Amino acid sequence: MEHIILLDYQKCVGCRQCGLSCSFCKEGAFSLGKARNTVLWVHRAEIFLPMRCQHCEEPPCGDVCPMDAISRNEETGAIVIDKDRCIGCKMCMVVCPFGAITWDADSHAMIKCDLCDGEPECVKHCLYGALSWLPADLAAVTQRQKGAGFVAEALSMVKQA
Amino acid sequence: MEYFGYAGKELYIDLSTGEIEEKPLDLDMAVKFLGGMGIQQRMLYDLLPAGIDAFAPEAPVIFGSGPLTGTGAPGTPRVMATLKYPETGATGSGGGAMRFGFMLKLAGYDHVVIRGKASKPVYVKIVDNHVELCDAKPLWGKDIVESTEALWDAHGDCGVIAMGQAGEHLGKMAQAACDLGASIGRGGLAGIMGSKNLKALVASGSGSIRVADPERFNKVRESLFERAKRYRFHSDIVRYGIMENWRNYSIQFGYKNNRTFIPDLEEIDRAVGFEAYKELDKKAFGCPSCFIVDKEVVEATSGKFKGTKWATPAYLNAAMLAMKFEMKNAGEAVKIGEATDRYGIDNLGASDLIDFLYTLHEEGTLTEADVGNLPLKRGDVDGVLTLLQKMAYREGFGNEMADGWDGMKRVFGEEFIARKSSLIKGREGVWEPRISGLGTNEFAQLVYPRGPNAECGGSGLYTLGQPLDTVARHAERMGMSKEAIERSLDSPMKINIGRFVTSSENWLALFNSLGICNRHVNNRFYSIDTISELFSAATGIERNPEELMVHAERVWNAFKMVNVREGFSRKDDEPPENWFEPMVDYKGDEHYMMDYYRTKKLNRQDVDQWLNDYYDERGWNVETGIPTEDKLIQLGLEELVVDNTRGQK
Repeated sequence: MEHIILLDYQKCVGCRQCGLSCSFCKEGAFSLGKARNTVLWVHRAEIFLPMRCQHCEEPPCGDVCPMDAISRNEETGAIVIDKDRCIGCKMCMVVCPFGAITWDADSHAMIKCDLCDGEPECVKHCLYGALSWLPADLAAVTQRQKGAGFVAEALSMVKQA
Repeated sequence: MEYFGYAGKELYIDLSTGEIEEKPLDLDMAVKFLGGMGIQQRMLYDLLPAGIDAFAPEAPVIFGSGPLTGTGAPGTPRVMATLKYPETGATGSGGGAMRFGFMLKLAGYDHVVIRGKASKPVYVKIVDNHVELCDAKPLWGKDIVESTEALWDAHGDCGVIAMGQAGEHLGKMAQAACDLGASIGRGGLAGIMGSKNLKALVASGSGSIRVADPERFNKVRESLFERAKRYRFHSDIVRYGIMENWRNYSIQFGYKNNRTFIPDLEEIDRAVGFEAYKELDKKAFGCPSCFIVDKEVVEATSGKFKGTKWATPAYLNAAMLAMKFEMKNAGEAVKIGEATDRYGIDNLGASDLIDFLYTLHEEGTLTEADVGNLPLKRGDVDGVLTLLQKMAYREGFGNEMADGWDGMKRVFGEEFIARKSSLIKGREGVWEPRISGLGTNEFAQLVYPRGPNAECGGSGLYTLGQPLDTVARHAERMGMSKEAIERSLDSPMKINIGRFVTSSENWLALFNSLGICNRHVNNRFYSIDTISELFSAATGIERNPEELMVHAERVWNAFKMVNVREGFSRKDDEPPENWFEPMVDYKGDEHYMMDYYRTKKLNRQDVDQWLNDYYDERGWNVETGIPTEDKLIQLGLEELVVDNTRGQK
């Protein structure tokens, strides 16, 4: 079964280990700039938003790529960029609503999350439960279980006839 | 030259001239003093003109991290602010955290030295290698929350250190905040920033920190993560933050009425303690790299202050204020905690100061008319808010309060203050030995060169009632040699606190210099072996545990010598008179200062003997409390020998 990274942004505490682990794994050095994800503190909403590739079913990046360099890895479900086809036009970066893709000036390549070949480093280093690597069906149930808590609380306020 | 662990550059900013200069990091010096507190105290020795007024433009402030900051080693976000503090006249390295130090490393700088005074309000902006002094006029007059949020909005993903109105008015108890989640500079850092017209510092870095041996480094890193994942209290600590240790803290900090009275803790717990805290809404957050966060945004859910939100290092800070001021519920606690943090007033210090005024009022020594009709009735939350506001803005009697205990000495006289308070080096301590016994936390307050602080000695006996074999295990973990442990456990009171504290201090020096958070929940995962591995793998410079402890000892001695040069010696390490007077609890029982294991009541000779033991363990002159020439030479601090005869008259 295809796995996804399920985000629980309310559990994110802004520790940035997802970013540090990503850059260390991919670049061999610790950085936020080289990470394929970013966690942003949105102070007005008081939430940490992990901004990352959502590995869309119909990725805008794939649609816009003039070189057909973007495709899905059927094993991991990751949307990946073929470096040999990519010309670095940066249009994928422009259209992605999540800012998932960036241009790396040092390696002269577009870089993005590739789910670490099925064992995502970010998930391994999240001790707060903000990131989970789950089979898609289990992810659905997990979300419903979370939602059930809120719904039950609301229902308990309603007087039964 | 390639740097590993270290970022490799220093930044020098002269606020008077606007000059900004970059220098490559002197790696030998950096390694000799490790980084962070170590290198900064050594630099301060060169940059701080001896005996200068803390508020003088020439007095520098150094902000910076250590070689482990910016790596993925868990719990390494620390940033230190090193300066001469106006509250005590002592130098120290105040610890902060959150994003500034971390981003500073990623921007390419190990530390930034700030000197001079800007002609108008500015903030320092460091975005990678673009460094600028920006106009802070729109922020001047704004509190820490408003200023920080404005800077986040302007600069995106960044780290902010900001001060509020208390700092703008040169308060001696004014402190700054790091991204609202960590306080920094208790003792007047913000007052110094105010005197320099420096409203804030912002850093954002997209660069990398390289480690010399990534595989070796990651092996240690992964093992730390594995242990944290298996730690059974992990989710409790994240859920309750620092309040998770309320059982200990409520006892250790359960004092009021000028430290003469121990209230009923059950009542406190219901009103403003753990039970009340659990009713608040809470969002946990933490520092970059942290794997066991404790910071929180709390919101009052009922009462007059329902809806008040407060981003804070810990609700505990408010609980301590609220307990002394007899606040009725968590909402009132949140409100006054939030007020101290918005203005940027040291909440620990202010709690004692205001409690002092309330107590004098209750005793009949002080009327409201005496203080320009400011409210002095304990239990009045609006009164607290008024006092804090006056203190922040130096209005009326607030002007005296803003100068902390110096102000109180001015008003009431030195002799009165010496009798009524428990000042050490001119400021109140945090730990109260008459309640928790004279353990490492409590004794360390006497000898900590910066003046008594919450973080000064801890480790090993941080919490109450640790069995001796646990203490011995901690001692090993903290890098104490077999001989040092033997000496430290050789006492009819089971622990020779004077000797043990030298090792607690060295352990703290290691953490503060490398950038590791020394909170006990993070500290517990680290051992001297772990740190030695991380340091060696990160920097590529091999240091085994024994060698690292020598570095730590060197750092502490350099730190001490800057203060010796400022005139500090044994006379400033003496215990306050009040330690030998009893406290009374709500049942009427008396409490005397005893040792940690409560074997005997301690008298002045006992404490003096432990001071002797402390200096002896450190290889310092026992009479003067000053590092000897031999010790300084042994540690490679020959150039500091010239100042080691000070304080002998």
